[in-house]
Amino acid sequence: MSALDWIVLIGSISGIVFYGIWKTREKNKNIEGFLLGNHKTPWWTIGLSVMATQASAITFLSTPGQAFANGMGFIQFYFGLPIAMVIICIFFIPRFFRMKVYTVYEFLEKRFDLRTRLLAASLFLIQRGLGAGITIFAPAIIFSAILGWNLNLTIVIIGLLVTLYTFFGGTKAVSQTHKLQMAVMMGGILTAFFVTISLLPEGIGFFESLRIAGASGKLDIVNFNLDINNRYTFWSGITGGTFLALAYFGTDQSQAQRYLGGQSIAESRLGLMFNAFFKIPMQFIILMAGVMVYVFYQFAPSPVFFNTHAERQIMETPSGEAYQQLQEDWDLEQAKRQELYAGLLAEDQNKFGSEALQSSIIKEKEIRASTKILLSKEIPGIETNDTDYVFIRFILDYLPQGIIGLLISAILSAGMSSTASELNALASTTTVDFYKRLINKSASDRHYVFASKGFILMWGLIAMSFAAYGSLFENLIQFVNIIGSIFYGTILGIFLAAFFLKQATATPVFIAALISQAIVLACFFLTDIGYLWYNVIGCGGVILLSLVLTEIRKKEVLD
Amino acid sequence: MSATNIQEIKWNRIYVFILGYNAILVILFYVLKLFYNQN
Repeated sequence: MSALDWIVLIGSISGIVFYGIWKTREKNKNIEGFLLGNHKTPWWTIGLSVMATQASAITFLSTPGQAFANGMGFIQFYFGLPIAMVIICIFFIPRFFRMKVYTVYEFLEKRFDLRTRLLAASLFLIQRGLGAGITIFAPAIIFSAILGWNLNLTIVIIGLLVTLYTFFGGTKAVSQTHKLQMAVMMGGILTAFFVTISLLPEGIGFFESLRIAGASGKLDIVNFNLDINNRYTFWSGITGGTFLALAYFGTDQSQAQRYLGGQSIAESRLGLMFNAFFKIPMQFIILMAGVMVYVFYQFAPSPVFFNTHAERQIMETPSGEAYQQLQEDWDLEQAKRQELYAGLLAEDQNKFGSEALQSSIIKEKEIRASTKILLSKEIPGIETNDTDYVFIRFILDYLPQGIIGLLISAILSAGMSSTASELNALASTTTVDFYKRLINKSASDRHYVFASKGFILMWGLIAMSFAAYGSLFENLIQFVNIIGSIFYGTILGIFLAAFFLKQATATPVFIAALISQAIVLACFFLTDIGYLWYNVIGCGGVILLSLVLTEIRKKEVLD
Repeated sequence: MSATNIQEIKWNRIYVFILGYNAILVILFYVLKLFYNQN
């Protein structure tokens, strides 16, 4: 990285942190101000804050890589989001506002009882506490591999900066910094998109790139196939995507806290509608940037494996020569494909054949597979999935000075924005649902603000410690996704029972939640069921068992 | 948008608009796929 990149990076990141602290320089003496920004957040800040919370660093690093490797189909994962937003606006927000809650779990005590509230809040703390560590660890491990940054130092710097402004300014600082972070993220991705197009060879513009990407199967954006083994289809997006978005935006305090701080029900609803309006176009732009990077690499020297650190390691082993040979095979295949593309663009049937292109793509996959086998043989425990490294490697190798700094700043901003929401929500839940409810019920507002700040520090330290030991866990991101899926279903089931099962009472729902959680854990330990199904099993289990147990209880009372 | 205007929003219209808009996006994506994707 050049001096200019460092100036852009340090300038933008420290600017965001100081802006957050400066905007919240008046001391928050009451808990409503610290946790809900005194209910003064306007709708567009809510909208940006909700989007910034969801966009983590790994989203920015992985999504273009996902499009590079598998095409645009991943966008279907978001098709259920607008439906979930509408459901939350109609059913969730009015109930939360009517009961004047600080955390969504408070609502559960008012609807059911304390046990149910504490159960849902505990499940959230376990899941999000682990998640906060990952949102710090994931970009740090990639930056350390690609840029050679010290892993632990990167974790500590990211963690401390986020903890700093969340500690001083609470929810207001988190929302205010989200606005700037979103501006940096969108500015970064749009710049990357246009710069990539400008770097394409002469005669190849955006529309020509679409033809090349389409011929390579990267534009299979909407797939109506009913095959359940296909992870991203229109149907899985509409069903599973709605379900996941409902759980994430409706019952996860790190998201709910963004709209609970709205000036009114209407402002909060508009904030979520803002998200429903911009989310799919934003994901489309990020994925399209990945597709443009794919087209770019069809004409520029492309590494056979994108993790620079692994590349250096293998070259120092006896298999270095074999690796070099695979890289040469790769380059040869690329040269053949360039001729095919020239035929495609010139609409010359003699030079372009769809079958020739397909066989070249298959050959390319075979070379990549052989490379991965070689790498895992020589470097035990290596992560052979390098899609997360594609975009960052492209940025560093080909983008001009200054833009590199902007994009690394965008990726770090994304990591900081989600971590800030997580720390904010973890501290709120610990203060409101446990400390204030169970330990110290009648202290002053000032005391609770002080306690919240203490919990922000505590969760910040826990997240950093977990991130520092992150490399001990194999395939960490998947591990955290599994942890999330284990608990999300049960939490959503409790909320849906609260909203839609009018006859459901506290004890049956609590027992149903415990049994469903046990069933999900049994599925995890004893079966091979795909972890995305845990959400359905957990949620469906709570609803069904609540109905059955409520009926049994009614009969017992009547008898 | 002023606070008074926000309170007067007809929500059902907003919801239909948002769902319709996203449905149009999906249709446009499908058209883009039909036009370019060959695999």
